[in-house]
Amino acid sequence: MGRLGRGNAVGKKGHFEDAEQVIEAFGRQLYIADRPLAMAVFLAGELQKPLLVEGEPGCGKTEIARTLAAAVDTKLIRLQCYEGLDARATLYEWNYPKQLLTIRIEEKRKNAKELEAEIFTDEFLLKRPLLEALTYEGPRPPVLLIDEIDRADEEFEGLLLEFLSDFQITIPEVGTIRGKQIPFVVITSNRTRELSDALKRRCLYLYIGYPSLDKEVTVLRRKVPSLGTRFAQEVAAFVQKVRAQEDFVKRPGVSETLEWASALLALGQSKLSREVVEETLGFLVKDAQDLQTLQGGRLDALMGPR
Amino acid sequence: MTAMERGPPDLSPILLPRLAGFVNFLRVRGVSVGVGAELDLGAAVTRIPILDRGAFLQACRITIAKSPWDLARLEAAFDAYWSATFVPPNPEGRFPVAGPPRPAPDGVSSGPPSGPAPLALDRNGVVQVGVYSPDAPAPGHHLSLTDRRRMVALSSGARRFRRYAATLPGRRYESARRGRVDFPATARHSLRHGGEWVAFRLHRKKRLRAELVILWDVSGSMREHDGDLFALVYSMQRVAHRSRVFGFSTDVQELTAAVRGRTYPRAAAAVARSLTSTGGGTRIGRSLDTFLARYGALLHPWTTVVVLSDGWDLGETDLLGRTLDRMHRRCHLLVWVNPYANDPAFEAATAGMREAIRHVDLFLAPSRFESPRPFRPIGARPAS
Repeated sequence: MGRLGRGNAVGKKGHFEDAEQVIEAFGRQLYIADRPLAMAVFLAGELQKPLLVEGEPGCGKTEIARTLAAAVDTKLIRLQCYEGLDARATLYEWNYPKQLLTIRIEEKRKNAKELEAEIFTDEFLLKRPLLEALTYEGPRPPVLLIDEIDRADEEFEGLLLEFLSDFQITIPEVGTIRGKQIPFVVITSNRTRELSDALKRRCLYLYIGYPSLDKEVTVLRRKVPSLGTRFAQEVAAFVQKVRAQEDFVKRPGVSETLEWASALLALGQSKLSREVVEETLGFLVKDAQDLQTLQGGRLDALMGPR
Repeated sequence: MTAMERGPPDLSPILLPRLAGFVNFLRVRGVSVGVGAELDLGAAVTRIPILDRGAFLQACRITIAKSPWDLARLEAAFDAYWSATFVPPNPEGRFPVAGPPRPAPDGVSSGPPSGPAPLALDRNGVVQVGVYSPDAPAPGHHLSLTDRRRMVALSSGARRFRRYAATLPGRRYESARRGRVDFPATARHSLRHGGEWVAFRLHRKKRLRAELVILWDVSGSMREHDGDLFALVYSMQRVAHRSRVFGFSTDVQELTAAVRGRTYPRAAAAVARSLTSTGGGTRIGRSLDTFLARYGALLHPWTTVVVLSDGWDLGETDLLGRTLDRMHRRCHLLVWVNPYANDPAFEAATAGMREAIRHVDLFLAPSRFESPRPFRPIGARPAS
């Protein structure tokens, strides 16, 4: 039985019985899941293993965790990775100011041993995302999203290995804390660096590339319903052409397509024209050099003859 | 006995040896499959409709592959292994590994080789690999070990270079005006004032680590410097916090996996094997442009790019200038290492080198890494 899907939100029996059910549950949350993605989520639940999702930026990696949490009606705990991320920001931290205040207030009434026993308790422990995910007491395990792990140091990967292997955290002053329920862990990476083999070995792997034209049209129709089918096809076809430019530094992902489509709708457009595309290009192309290339003549080629 | 054969118990006795054979087949084809992944696959197939070929392929992709390259290899191997007509040549599932194509005696490519060509090291430690294009020099890259003292000096130089290029926080802290509260320092400070908490002392992490992208010119004109430059590449990638290594001549090829985590001789052998598709001639501008298109996401304001090349460009010099300008704008430092730069009579005579020197922050000879002198920028920044 999948450890996640015990809520009413998923299936009649309340769990993901197969990949098809994942597709349905994600569909209800407006996420178009293809079969590889559904199979990955299903197997990650079945095998109780973290899911490492790599792929192009803006193609819905982070959204997987959000959608999963919403689909099974559980809490999403997010850890955004950055350079210099350490144990204090990810596991736990003692509330030093509170401890100091307590010492000052209690130092005349209690001896050192009593004080020590008092200040190293749960009350003074600030739970950070990994510990929070382990000690979560909701009816269903939470979804832990470790976002953009490639931005963090390799030491953080080492720290994570311990957590992912045993799903436990050792706090010297308190002891080892084991999770009552194993969280569903989704780790995302934009591949700006290679992750360690040790981390990859502990995870199931999913790669998300740019969507096909048909899939992008479906996503547009689902997420921006007021966009007509024909206009959605026109928008998606143009985005596909921009994405095919191999010399572009930053190719647009699905999120850029959705932003651009919303902007076009806000401007009351129902058809692509050169002027409107030029005015709203900033929503689609997020690199100054790419923007210059497009404005410097490439746009005419992409728009076709007038 | 493989891990698959020991478990999991739910697997059918008919499927089990075939799955184990498939994993062996993948390993022979260069996909690194660990025991954990093998067991995951075994567990996964008990939970999917095994007769659904698509579902089975997805399960293999999810449990075995660990990178986009693995995915491509896995799919090709999957089709080959699980096709109806396929019969493994021996019970171990082992296959001869095809070597690189060798040029025909008359100098004209003769299509696929008739049999597998084994890779070998000759007496001088040179890995002989096939390299062929109409203007290719003699095949093989001389990556044999330079003497140990030079390696020590190069490692030391690479560490100094890392400190020079450091942009990322290390483990050590330094006191700062902005940052996190340094409780031990705050406590020490309070003791100097009669135990009163006068003010919080702050600290932040020192910038000690560097992120390097190394672009190594492996074209024919650089062949005589292969050994020296590879020693430098090896030393730099070892000391950098994060590093990616690429070889280029007429195209760009990533070599990180061949270098990382290996001893020098193994890395040399792996790199030489990886360079099989390298053609003759140099298109530095075109190659760097390709690099930006494929791996542009690697360049950040904290990345240092090191180009090792003699600047002998047979391509468009304008493109080289434009590409270097783009790289320079996107990275922390752009460094050019030219094997001829330590010659007192050296001048940037080639068009490529003249263009390049306008855009780089540091211009060095490889031997500069063996000297204890500090690195200094050349001050020749492009006129914007």
